[in-house]
Amino acid sequence: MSLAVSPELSKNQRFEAEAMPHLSDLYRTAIRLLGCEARAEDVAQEVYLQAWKSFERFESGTNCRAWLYKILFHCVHHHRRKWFRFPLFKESDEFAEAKLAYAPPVPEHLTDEEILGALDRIPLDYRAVVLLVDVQEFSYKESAEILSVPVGTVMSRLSRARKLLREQLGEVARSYGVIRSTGKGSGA
Amino acid sequence: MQQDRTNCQEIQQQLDGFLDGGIEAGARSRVEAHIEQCAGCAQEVAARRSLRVQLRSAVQNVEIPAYLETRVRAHVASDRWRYPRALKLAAVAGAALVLAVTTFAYERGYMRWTPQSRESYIASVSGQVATLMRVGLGDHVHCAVFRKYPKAPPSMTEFVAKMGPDYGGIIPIVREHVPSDFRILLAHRCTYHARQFVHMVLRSDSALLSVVIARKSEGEAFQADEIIPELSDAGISIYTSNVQRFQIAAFESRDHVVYVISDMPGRRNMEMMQAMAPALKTFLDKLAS
Repeated sequence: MSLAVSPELSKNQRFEAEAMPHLSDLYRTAIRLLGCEARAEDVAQEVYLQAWKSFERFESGTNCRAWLYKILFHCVHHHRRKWFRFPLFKESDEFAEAKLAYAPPVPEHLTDEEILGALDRIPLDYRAVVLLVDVQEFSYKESAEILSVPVGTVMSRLSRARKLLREQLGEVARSYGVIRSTGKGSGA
Repeated sequence: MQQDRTNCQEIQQQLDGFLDGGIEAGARSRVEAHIEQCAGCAQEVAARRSLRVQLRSAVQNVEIPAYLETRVRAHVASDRWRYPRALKLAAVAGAALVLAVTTFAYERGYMRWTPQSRESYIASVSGQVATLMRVGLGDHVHCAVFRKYPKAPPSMTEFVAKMGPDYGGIIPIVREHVPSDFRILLAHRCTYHARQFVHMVLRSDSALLSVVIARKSEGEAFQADEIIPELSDAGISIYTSNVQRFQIAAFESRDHVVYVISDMPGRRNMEMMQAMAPALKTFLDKLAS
């Protein structure tokens, strides 16, 4: 007697097993990209609906997380145009290049709020690569595919993004009136 | 010394790749050998690693709303059931065909809907949407679909007068937010099933559209109907539903429920609602206060 699962049930089960576990990370990334929890919820919902609709085309066993993130960036791009009337990647590379000659030291004892505040202040295209590579631990190649840009662009943005982030964190430290360098003079 | 500094600069340029696993084995060994002897570069590596750990932790410590999974699953489920339902409701499609044919016959004067047959039709479509959605849908079908409009529509002044001094301001808001090919067929206050409505009907060459507004009754809320908003835009949650050719988008203000109902594609219907919802809400909130 055949115990074959119906295709519909099988799709549901696969979706639950492969796509749903990434919802939390996806939502947290969406908050950082959109700066608003309500919009992040809307976008997360939309990502999963789109993923469900095209789930037949997703090849089981390949990287479902990267596929969901690609949909996420597509949705974010679409919504930002609608909500904010400006494109996702608007900062020119020269912006960061001109601004940053070196990586400032990282202050100690940062709170989550300070780190997130600094991250949210860096331009969106740089924030995106930091979120993908540093937070979600995607490879350069995966990040490039998610963002539909060359690997070299991911690498250069990442380098600048990290410097920008450190500059922002340096501002936090300066606001305390003290900056404790991790780069020099600790007797190592 | 100069050579050391140059070496450090070179190494630091490779630190991103080193930390991300993005450099080849030979370069990796050189960086490793350097940081074993150079306290400054070792410290830089440690600082970068530490920042990454802090960053990851800060992002991942953000709390997830308890309802998010449920909301996402419900949204996906609404699509999941759309197709089987479409198949199951072949009978409903048949009924729609009958309606199309009878409407055509009606418009040609071959037959007339009786009040009973209209009510039976409205009940059959309303039964397929959530309770609070039925309120607007019923009025739309009753008032906009089963109605003959005068060939020469009344003037704007007459429409404003029919809406009354409190709701007359709705007309310019709607006019401003619907495309210019829509003309106003009707703007009035009506009563359907003992409930009062403010109702505008607009028509383009291809679509019939209603804006229906009713005061909320005690306990009425979309959430009470367990409907999940399709989207939240500008702080307004918009709920949608559809049955047969009718697309419904709705939102609630403190005292009112507002519907945009049309036979346009759902997305266009929703866009119309999104366009006019903020101004309508502001208007109704002022009215209520």
